[in-house]
Amino acid sequence: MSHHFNSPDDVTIAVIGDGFGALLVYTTAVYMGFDPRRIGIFGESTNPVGTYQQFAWNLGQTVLRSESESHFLPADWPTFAQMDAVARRDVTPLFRSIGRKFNPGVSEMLSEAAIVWKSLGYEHRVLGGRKIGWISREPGTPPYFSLYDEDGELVARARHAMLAIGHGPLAFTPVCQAARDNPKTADRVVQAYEAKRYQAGGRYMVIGSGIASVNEWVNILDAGAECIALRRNPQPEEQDLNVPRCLFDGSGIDAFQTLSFDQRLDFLGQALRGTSPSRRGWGDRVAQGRQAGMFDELVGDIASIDSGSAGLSVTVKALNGNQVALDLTGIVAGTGFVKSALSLPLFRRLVEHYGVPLERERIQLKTNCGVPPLDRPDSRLCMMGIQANTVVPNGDTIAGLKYIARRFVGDVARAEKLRRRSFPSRLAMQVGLARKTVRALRAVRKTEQLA
Amino acid sequence: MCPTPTGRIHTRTATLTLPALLGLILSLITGREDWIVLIGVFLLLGVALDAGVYSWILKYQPPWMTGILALVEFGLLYALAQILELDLRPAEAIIFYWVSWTLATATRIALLPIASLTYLESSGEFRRVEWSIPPQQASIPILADVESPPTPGSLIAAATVGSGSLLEKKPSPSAIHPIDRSASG
Ligand SMILES: Cc1cc2nc3c(=O)[nH]c(=O)nc-3n(C[C@H](O)[C@H](O)[C@H](O)COP(=O)(O)OP(=O)(O)OC[C@H]3O[C@@H](n4cnc5c(N)ncnc54)[C@H](O)[C@@H]3O)c2cc1C
Repeated sequence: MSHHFNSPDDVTIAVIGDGFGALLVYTTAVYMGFDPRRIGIFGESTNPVGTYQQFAWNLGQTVLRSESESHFLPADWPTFAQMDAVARRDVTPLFRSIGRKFNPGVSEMLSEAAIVWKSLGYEHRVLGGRKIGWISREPGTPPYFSLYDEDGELVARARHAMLAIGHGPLAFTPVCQAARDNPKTADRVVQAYEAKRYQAGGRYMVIGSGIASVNEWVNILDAGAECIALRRNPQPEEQDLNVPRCLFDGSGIDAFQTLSFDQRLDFLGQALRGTSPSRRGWGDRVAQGRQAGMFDELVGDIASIDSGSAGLSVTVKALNGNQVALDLTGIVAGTGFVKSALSLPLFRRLVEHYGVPLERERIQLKTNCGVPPLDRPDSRLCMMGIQANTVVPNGDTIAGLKYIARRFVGDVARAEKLRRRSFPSRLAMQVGLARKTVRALRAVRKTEQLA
Repeated sequence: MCPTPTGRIHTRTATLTLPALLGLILSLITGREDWIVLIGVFLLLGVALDAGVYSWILKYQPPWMTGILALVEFGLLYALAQILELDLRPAEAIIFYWVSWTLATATRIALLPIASLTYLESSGEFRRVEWSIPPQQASIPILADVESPPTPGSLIAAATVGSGSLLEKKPSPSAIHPIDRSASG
């Protein structure tokens, strides 16, 4: 650092955001050889899994959507199935993984995350304890960014910054939004990612056929209630992990990036539309529900939502043009998050002030996830997570976050002429973390596999 | 994994390093060079299969396929060793093949991801930790560089003008763009 950088909160790498992305940039940087003191995490929480954990809890998620390779150790070996097998002295996870039927349990995965962040001193590098409200590119040499909080107070300065602030607000269709704004119906229309409780004997409609929706079908049936699944597409595709398999790999991501930005948006629209995974346990549960007359499906759109005798009176316009009126206890929208970059205040300000280019309300990132025009090779400003899935299609998964984190840290290492950690030291670090994880897994109750 | 042809060849070559070392040691100890020759033949056979067969029929290679390919390659290598009349007894060649295969598999699973951080996500290729497509090749609108100071009157200017200190307060951005907290879920 040059003489410009005197304050304790001046760092080489700043991560704005305190979730999964922040943890993965941090672990990657330490693994590559950065001194933790050169890294700063800027957000409110020292727990990088808190945001995800809340959503997962609300959704009732017990196993991850992703497979054995997606977890929090810096490098890709050992896989989660391998550690699970050693911890429990049971080869089943290995066989399941070979057949691509292994999904790490949420509690197991979060235990690993805790091992990683505690062992590598992550929480000591969460600086300021505040959200970042504004970033400015400071002119002159050396290049750096100033980070300000929501009150305009300077929090830190950083040579390179990664924006990892996660999703926008929860998304609702206009009809559902209107019902939420209406005091008579507001509390009966909820999002899959919100906290909720089902009543035995109730009847609920679940909008969408993605993984969050399918999860809710099962939650409703398990609560002894009736479930009506409503979706727009007659034929949902069967695919775990949000996007088609080879798209996750280098070759797939390379091919994706050769498309124009517009084509990529269209492709994501297609690939991410209403995909639902096959889960043995879930499939059986839904089949039982269907047989018992507790589960049904509709293809169409909600035309209106009013209060009714059972709680809600809902009209659905079916695909064939028929209107169906239904009495329901409530509606659960599995419609995800608002994808518009403008829904996140920090991004909206950057767009307005620096003219960051937008296309269909998504930031037109460079192919290295850089934010134009602020990003430059000697002082990178990058983005990860859902906002970066226009460059890395699985950007909002652990695997995609890792993909971006590694390349971003690689760029920073080159810009800073970092002396990289040696192979033996990397191996020792990885094996050390894996051993601690194995020990921790022994104390965690085994989560039932659903696939 | 969905290995590219290059990825397959990189992987094949890297994973046969330890078997080659083992073959070399055995050749030196026994004075029979056919141990190392067998690994050479294995490498050539593997590269030919990688480039000419697997890359076309196995775009996505599920993990369980590894065992099947090992058996196929064992059969082919055994036949080649017979044709080339290598100076190894059948039992020696069989044991040496499976020990080599185990070493190669262990290298692929455990060592390569540590040696190259992006090995798995780069379809089995050893790439620099870099983006696949340099931003210079991408089509994005040409924008002004922000090297020049921000326009006077902007938020940055308001925070820094006359202060000389970066600790000077800026007007709150959220005061300019009030956040709709009701919509934030
Ligand atoms: C229910 C659910 C299940 C999932 N299951 C899987 C799975 O099985 N496998 C998988 O690979 N992925 C899964 N994902 C996706 C995974 O959670 C996301 O990929 C990941 O959490 C995104 O990480 P992130 O850092 O971008 O965002 P987050 O983890 O959401 O973290 C962003 C953080 O930044 C904070 N923040 C926001 N604004 C600011 C600001 N201005 N300044 C500072 N901090 C700010 C937020 O409060 C938040 O804590 C799941 C997601 C959900 C919601």
